[in-house]
Amino acid sequence: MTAAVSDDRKEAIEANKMFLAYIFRNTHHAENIRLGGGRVDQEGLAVAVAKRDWEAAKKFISDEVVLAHCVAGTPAECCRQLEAFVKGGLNLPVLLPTGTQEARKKVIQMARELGS
Amino acid sequence: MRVGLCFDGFYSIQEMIELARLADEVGMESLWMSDHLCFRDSLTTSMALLAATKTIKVAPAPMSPYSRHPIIYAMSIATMEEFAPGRVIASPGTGNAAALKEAGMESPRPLKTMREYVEILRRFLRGETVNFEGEIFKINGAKMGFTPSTTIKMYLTAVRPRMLQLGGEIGDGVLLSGGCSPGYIARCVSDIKTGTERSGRLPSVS
Repeated sequence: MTAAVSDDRKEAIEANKMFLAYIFRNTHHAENIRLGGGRVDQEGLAVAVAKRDWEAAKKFISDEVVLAHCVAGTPAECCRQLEAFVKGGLNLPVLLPTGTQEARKKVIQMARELGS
Repeated sequence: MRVGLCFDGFYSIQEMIELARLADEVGMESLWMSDHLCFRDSLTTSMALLAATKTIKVAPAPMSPYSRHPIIYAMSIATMEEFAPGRVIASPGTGNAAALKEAGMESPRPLKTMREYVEILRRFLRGETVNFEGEIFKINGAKMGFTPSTTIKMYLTAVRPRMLQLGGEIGDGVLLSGGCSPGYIARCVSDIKTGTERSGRLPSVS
């Protein structure tokens, strides 16, 4: 799952949007989106991604959709959010770090704390 | 809790290598290098990640049967395993249908294609002379000139129910798509378990 660690919650949420935009244009994610409780205009999103217009594409991904499908926030918030994903039955959560390089490093630091 | 790290290929290889070294140092379990068409290449990046790290496992994922013939995939993954024995995971999967279509590659009959793909890959990696007359692939006596020293585990990448079931049936594990909600993950795990009941094995879910 995509993960963005930041003390600025809004920044963390925004950092996850490009990846979600890239994959949620695929119709096979429709049921996943529905079960997450959100709505995404997948047709409009597909047009934006096809143009590689990422700013337009990210507008199709609401903050609520990010929070339903990603972890985003401070390390403590991310750890709490991660638990909900693991409870679904994952043997190994795999984190996809987003945001700036420094923010990505914070995801790895969080992983170290989870493993210790 | 052990955790893996995934790269989407959206940022530079230098940045990924820096993060991979850090992940290796802190003891993360594995690196999963996405094969997103039009972004950084999964196989060449995975080799660079292996070269830059010491113990962490590396998985190029997913390798699509529509873009990489099984012999090409077997050659690549076996070369990686020869370079870093015991540190390579294979993750075949059909891939991003929209991206394949953009590149002019159709993705018909995904279940049959994946079932044949995995069988052929395993036979190549075991060093067999492969004669295969499938509905999708035909192999006419090809045999790898070298074989891996360890058994490479296969984690099928899957999103939809029947592919998840197939992953449970024939995979050593199943890699879910990024962006799955907790509710969808639970449903995926249920589908995978349905598949395992056919095989009697217990795959891992990542």
